[in-house]
Amino acid sequence: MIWRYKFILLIFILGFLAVCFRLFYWQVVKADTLSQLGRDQYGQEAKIIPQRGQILTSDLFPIAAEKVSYLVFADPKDMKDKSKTAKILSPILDIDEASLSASFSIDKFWVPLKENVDQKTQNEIDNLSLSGIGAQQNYQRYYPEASLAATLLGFVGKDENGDDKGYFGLEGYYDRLLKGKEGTAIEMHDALGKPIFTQVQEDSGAVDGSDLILTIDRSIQFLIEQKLKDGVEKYGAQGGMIGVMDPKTGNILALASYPSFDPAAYYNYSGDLYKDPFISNLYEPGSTFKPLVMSAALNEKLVTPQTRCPHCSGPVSVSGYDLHTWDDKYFPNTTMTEVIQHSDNTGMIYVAQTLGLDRMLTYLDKFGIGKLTGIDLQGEVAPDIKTKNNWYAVDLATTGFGQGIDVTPIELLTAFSSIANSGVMMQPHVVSGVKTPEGKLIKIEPKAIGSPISDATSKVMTEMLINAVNKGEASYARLKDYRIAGKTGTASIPIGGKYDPNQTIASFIGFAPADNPKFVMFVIFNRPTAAIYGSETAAPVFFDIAKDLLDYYKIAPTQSQ
Amino acid sequence: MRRPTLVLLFLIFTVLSLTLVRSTLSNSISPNGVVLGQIEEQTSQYKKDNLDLQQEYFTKASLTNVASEAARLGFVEKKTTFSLSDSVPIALKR
Repeated sequence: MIWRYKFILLIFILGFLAVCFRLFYWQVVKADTLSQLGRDQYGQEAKIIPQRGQILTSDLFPIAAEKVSYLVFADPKDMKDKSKTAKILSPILDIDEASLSASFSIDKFWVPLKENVDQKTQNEIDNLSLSGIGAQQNYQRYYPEASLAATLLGFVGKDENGDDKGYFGLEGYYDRLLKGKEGTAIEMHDALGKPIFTQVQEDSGAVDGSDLILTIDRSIQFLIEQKLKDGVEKYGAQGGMIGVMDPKTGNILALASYPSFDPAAYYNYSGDLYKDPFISNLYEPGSTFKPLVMSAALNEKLVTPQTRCPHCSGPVSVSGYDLHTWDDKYFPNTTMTEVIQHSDNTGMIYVAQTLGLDRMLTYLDKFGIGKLTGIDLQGEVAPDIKTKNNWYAVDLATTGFGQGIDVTPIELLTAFSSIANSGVMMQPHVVSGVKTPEGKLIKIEPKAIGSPISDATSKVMTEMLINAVNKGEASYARLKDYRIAGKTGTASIPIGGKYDPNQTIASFIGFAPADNPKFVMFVIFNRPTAAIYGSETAAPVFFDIAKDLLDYYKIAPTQSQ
Repeated sequence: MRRPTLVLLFLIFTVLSLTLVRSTLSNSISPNGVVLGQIEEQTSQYKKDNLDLQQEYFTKASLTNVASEAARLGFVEKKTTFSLSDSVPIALKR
């Protein structure tokens, strides 16, 4: 009889083990799959797309915001009459019938048809009550000021996964901050498929993007874009750019380039226009570079405004090259003040040679030439400055008048600003604060990045630049009631190893009011054809804008001449 | 015998009444999917309407729009400005 007990016991043990194994299999091995199946049965997982942060100008007006748009999709398995649906939807969505029919023939539950569909179109589709056609609410970038500050903003495109991604300018530089964090939510259903209230929204993990508050003054930005466009058209230039900066803080007040693009339809424009030339283009600055070299020599006490040039009576020969002045006029025994006033290349050769290569390289470094300024925009480049061994005597001479050396406009504007700010160079920046989705405001403080020259030198240099404005070749355009410091520039463009005398980059850089500068402005025209000189193109535009800015800032005239 | 019967009846009555109250309350406070769905939809509609209104406001308040409207209405750029360089005296000696 005992074997029967044992047999029954064995059967029970085996049965028990079988149950244990099966439980282990379901609860451990297949746990993830089963739990997913369960979740799918009572709920549907949905991606929560965060709202991208706004970009606001200094008056807190958004120049890039979000608007509601729709992604229209089809569920081919739920469609009744596919060909009729394609025929109806084709003109509404502006997609040809064949493409829609092809989408409807895909063996899937969800096929996207068109993105960024506006509210009106969506309502039209909704009213048709087409079976198997639905829409998912999304956000789309919207630009209330249209293409204002487009190169500064950049644009929002798609990444390799089809998600929104910022490219170029602010959208590119601050992409992670602006886009926020995506979340997921499960919408619970009861047995009848009706939604059940749950706390999924709070647990989704989605975080909206932060808002950027810019230093950009919308009125100034609007003004300079108008004036730049008018200037490019008037002088028949290939393009142009203007930068306005507060020298005391490094705040960029406006930054414009022309031609530009529409960030809402960036795909219709050439990729060359996406980059902001003010931070991405290298060029030989020409005479607008002279104040930096002169400041260096003044700072080293190698020259004074009264120092006379001993070899300015004719072209200067350096290493077999004859170097001329821009108009082939020469001023023997000219003073340093007059060298800047006449934009005298031979005088600047004397200054550069007096300074010497070592000190020239030191001051280039101090002024940040050859280095990134660190402006908070995507796409900034820095020129390569030759190592000391690769400099020839002629390189030193031509650097004195801004040829044979490359800079970006933002580099030159930043370096020049130090003359307007008692010798202190501030880092240029476009964002003054970040507002988190919780409403917390994080301020970004101005940052000094060097003091290339002393306060005394900056004052002397300012007076020399005021003299250049009042008595130089652009004096006809100046504002007689204000003390403005500035310098013209006409840079030849190297083409195939030679300079083309008829193709120039005409520019003017200056600040006002000279005694307590409110702004530093740099105006550049690329290859103007109506006139090739900075004094005839960039200078009048500079003073035209400066007049409006002085009125805008309510700055009363300080002199009457 | 009478007392235990009463106690028993009281307990049965209590259990039944509590069950009934619980069922009624549960039924009344249980989530109504349709209503909640409607509330969620309404909230989302308000959010969307806010964004639409915001968009309309921003478009109308933009300098681009203001400038074109000003030009359409015949406004022209101010050509002259004046400024007071000295402060105006409170009283004049005559």
